[in-house]
Amino acid sequence: MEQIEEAVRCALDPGSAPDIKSQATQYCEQVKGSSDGWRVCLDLFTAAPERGPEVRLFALQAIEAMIADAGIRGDVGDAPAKLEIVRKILLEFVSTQYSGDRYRTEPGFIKNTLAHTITMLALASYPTQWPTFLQDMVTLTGILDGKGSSDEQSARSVTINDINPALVDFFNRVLGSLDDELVSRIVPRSAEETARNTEIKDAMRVADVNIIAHAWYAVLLHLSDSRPDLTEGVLRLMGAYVSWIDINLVVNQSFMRILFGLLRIPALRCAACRCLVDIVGKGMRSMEKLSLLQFLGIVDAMKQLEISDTEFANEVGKLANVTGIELKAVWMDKGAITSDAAAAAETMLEQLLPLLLSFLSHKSPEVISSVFPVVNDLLAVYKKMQRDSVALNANQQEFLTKLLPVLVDKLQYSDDYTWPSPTDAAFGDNDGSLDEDDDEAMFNELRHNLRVFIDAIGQIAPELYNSVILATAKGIFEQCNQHGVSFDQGNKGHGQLGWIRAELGIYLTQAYGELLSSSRGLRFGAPKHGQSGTGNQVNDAISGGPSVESLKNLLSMMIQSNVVSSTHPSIAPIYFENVVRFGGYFEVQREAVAPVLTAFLGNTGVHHPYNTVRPRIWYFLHRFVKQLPGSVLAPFSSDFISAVAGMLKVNADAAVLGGTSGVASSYGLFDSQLFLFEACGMMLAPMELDDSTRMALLQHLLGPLFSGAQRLMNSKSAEQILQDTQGLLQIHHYLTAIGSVVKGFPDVRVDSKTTSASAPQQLSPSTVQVFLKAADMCVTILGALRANQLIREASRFTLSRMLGVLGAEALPYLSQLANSLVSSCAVEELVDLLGLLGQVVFKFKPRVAPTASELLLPVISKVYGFLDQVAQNGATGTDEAVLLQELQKAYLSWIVAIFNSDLDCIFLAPQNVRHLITIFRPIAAQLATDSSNPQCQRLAFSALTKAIQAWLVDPQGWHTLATLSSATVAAINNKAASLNESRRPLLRQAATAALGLSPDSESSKDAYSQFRDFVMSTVLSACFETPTRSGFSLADAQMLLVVSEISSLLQMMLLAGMPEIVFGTDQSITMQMRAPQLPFPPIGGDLNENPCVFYMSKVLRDLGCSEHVAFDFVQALASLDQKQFKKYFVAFLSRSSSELSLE
Amino acid sequence: MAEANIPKFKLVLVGDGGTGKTTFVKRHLSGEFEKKYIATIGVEVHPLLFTTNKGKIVFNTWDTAGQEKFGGLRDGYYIQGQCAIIMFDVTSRITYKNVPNWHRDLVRVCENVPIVLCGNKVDIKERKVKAKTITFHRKKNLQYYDISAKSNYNFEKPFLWLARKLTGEPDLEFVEAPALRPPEINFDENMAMEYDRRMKEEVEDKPLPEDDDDL
Repeated sequence: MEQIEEAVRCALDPGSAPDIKSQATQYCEQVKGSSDGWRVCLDLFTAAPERGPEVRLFALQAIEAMIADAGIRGDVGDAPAKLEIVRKILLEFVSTQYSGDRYRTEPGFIKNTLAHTITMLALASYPTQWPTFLQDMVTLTGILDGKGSSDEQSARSVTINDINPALVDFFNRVLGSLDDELVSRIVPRSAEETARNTEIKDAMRVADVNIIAHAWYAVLLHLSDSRPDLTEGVLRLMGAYVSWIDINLVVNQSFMRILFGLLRIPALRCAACRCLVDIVGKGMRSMEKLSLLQFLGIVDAMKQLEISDTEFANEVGKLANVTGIELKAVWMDKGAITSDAAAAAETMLEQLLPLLLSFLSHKSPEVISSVFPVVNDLLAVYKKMQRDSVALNANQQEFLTKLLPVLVDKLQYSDDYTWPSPTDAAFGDNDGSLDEDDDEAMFNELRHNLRVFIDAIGQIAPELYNSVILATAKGIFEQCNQHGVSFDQGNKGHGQLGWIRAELGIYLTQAYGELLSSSRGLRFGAPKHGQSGTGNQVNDAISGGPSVESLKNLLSMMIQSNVVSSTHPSIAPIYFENVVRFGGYFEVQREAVAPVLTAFLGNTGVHHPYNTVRPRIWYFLHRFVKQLPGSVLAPFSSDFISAVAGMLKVNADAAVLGGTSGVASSYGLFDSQLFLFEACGMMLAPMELDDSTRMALLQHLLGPLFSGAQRLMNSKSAEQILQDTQGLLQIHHYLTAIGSVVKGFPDVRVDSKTTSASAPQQLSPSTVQVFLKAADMCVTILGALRANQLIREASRFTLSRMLGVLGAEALPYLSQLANSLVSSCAVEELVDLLGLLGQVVFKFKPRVAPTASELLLPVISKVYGFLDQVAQNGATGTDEAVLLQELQKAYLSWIVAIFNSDLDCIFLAPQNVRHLITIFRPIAAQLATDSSNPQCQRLAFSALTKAIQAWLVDPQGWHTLATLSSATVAAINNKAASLNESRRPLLRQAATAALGLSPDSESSKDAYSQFRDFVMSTVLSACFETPTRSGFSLADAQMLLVVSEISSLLQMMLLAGMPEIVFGTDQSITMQMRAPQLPFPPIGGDLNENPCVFYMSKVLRDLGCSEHVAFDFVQALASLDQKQFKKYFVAFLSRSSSELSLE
Repeated sequence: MAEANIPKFKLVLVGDGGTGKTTFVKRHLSGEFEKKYIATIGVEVHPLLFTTNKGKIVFNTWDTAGQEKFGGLRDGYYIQGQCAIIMFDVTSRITYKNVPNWHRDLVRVCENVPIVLCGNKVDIKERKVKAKTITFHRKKNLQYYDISAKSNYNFEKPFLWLARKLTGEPDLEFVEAPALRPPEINFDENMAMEYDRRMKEEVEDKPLPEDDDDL
């Protein structure tokens, strides 16, 4: 025993030496694991003189370990005998030790753990081995004599002197623990445990729960004055147990008399109220529930309560809430109750409504929210009535009329809400987010909930909504018009509008517009035919509800009121959010653009005094400008640039960078500046802008960025710059800023059908020159500093924007960019790089064939370099695992993008063709079969399908690889002849020609034949193995998509096996052949001649299918169309996944 | 202020293995983000010092093993715990599902202590435990925070909340940022706001389904 004590002490002492600690811990483990450890521990726990609490806790853990080993029913081996010993000794201990003073000094955690141990003992041995568990426990308290009489009479006959409060406390702990382990739904449990627990509950319902109720009654009756702590415990337990015991055990005259009495005792009223919440909320049949509520007279009882403090108001609010929910459920349970009962429930519910309104008007957000669920339920009922065209009755209408203003009133900020100060940093060092104290979270949550209700009323009673919301908002804007708006005053002031009301007006405008937009969409531009309204307006006139016309007026009032002139931090963000959100308004009210842009550029806009607000406005300005056409923007360009120029000074803050990693996912304030740079680009893009003005402004904008970057580049050698984090970040920012300006210009359309360089010109020649100069600089910088990730990131971003805007003009930079990036990029950048390369091939198609074919191998080896490394070492943490998945996805997306861009030929380029199978093997053998990542699986099969089409079905390139549905195939087939005649090379053919390849060359044919062998040997088996592996579930929607991809592949494969197509590469046949008819419509043909059929049946038979099943499968594949076959395949898989003999 | 006068509180840190408890603690100690996963055996105790506007405060943080097989004395470590953090991993549902178990075992030993529930790894975009499903703290009156040990997001929030509860000073603030290195990554502000928004929607999301068939 001493040894155990010493070991526990050492193991728990933070100061003991690590090796001693681990030795001690091991020793403790041994004791727990040994066959007689529990016996020693039992002695240790009960020993006199008393041992230390730490070692006694350990002793209980060891005993519990034995109980756990005894099995779920305590009957493994000689367990019953052991359990009996434990039971006897522990009960003896409780009755002798806990009845006296020792209980007071016993630490709480020992009492709790002992209660838990006894509970675990009971779960393992009740009712078979220990049927008297509860009787024994109650007997200990003195409430029950050993015979177990338990009616109310006997509870009364118990006197206060019979009851041992210490043991009542212990009993409460046992019952609490029993609730945790037996009933509570929060704790996860195995099916076996759940089943056993149900049996135990059933046995207790029959034999014992009345004993528990009896004990509770005695405690409430005798101890509520002297021991409020025990009473509170009992009330809590009653609430927990009432969910599964006979409710009449607690809901009866005698219990309820006491319980309602407790509602007037300050120390216990909250606990009593919570107990009532549980009673009222118990799951029961509707008729019984109604009787219960009537019996309780709950609504009247609540009305009589004196609700002085917030805490109690909150509890009563919850009681009102649950009462309302239950009444509504009874009222609506039409099938199960009489009409009288329904009427009675409805009446009670109506009596409850004034109470709900009073809680909603409370000052505490918690109290207000306590009745939200029932308000939600009621509004749902009204909504349904409205849908069913049942009119609300007068009471219901009256309720809504009172409810709406209360809800609107609560939307307002409170006066004591804490706002950040103007100088508070917008971007903290730590979390990079706005200060979000609990105040803000609480308020936002409250407001959002209120809004849901208000919106619901908007649907239930549109006229009421319309009049209240419009009147309130208009009143606010009118006041602002007349008296101006205050910055610091919430509500007071002499006629001047306070910021609280001002914000409410803007918020209501937003709410009004959003409700409209969600219910019928916003069409500001609806044609107006003179005075006689059509469409919308007619509807509006009929309903009297919200209308676009009213929203327009509201927005006009909001803008004219100049409410935005308030510098209060609550105003500008929501104001500008509105003008962005309802951008359509400016399509019909062009004259409103000027005042709004002026506000944007003024001192409550981009120059807002609050650091936290300003960046937000920049973002909105960007969004605002983006939705306006160039012709509208052009007149403002000069003013715009000069107004924001002051905000565009680029100051790199090296603190945003991590210690080890080279880039950050956000760069603080600079991120927001990028919105301004892009907005400037948009302001300079319009064709309507005079080119000399544009050049001047562009110089003004880009000049500092160019010279800044050049100055840094010239100041030191590349090696020195690479050591200077601050300098690198600054260059990164310059480049990214230039890229953002370029991003503001529209993308050029690339005519990918031709290889000539004549793209339609959308930029002025001088603009092109400026951008080319920027591209030059970017590539030069990248060349010098490509060892740095920041520079790589910035160059990738900026040059990809150049490619978008300049189109073919920028293509010469692509290979320089890609070569630099591929050679030096880190794994994290690969994902982005692959995305960029995917976009490039998609945009330029045949025109990038040479570049793409050069990049293919370097990129692939980079990708596999990482994948192999992880495969060898395993992912070292969540981050790497996530990165791995992203990389796989990006890689496959890129491969698919190559096919979709009809660049399949790049795999056949001389430097790549030798590696063809090496490239595709891991796709088929690993990525396609890894069910932990179904998105990748799908991409992998998609890539394989396209490869089969490209090289085994249609090597001549008659069809694009981008689309594969049967409908498009049919369409292409019809057009094939005319395409042929146009003599213009098809995309795939153009790309092939660009690389100087031919589908008929020996090298190509050799590649096709290698690929065919690979398909038969590897791809085919992947098709069947993947969906039958463990971990692959047909119930998973994503995996079902994988199956769909596989069925396309199989059909494509069958097509590849058709003799006329397989041999279609033969020149003599090709001469006469027109584009083959791709047959999803059914394939048909002579299956016996098809080598794929042979292989497929072989694979199926190898998997354990009978000859017949295999034949049936192939037949289905050949005769069904795409959709039907997918269905067949799914059925086939679910039928045979049990039969197929795979792991 | 003399070392001895600094109020010290025992903080128990629990949660499933791999949720990032040790990384979280080490982040404070060294400012480094621990990339490798090494399972904690038994318990490791670290004093974490914070400076507040009311003086210094130390959390003696008991970083306990989350993995069953390295559990050691388990509940024993909780003895005399004055506050606790239960951690789960928002990218792993099972770790959230197990939170009630940790809570139950904890409160058996530490009665009525302030407890913070933390969902770690919110910097990872593939979040599996959506804000909406995180409701346990409401049932048990715990405080909840999204955190990211990697990006320092909300790092000090759990400690601040516990410090206020333990000292009974609701306006206590940390005056010096704890000795954290700049974050490994910056947690995207928009993402943070998005999470906040979803968190807020949680209560609201039940409301008024258009097709409420159980009416």
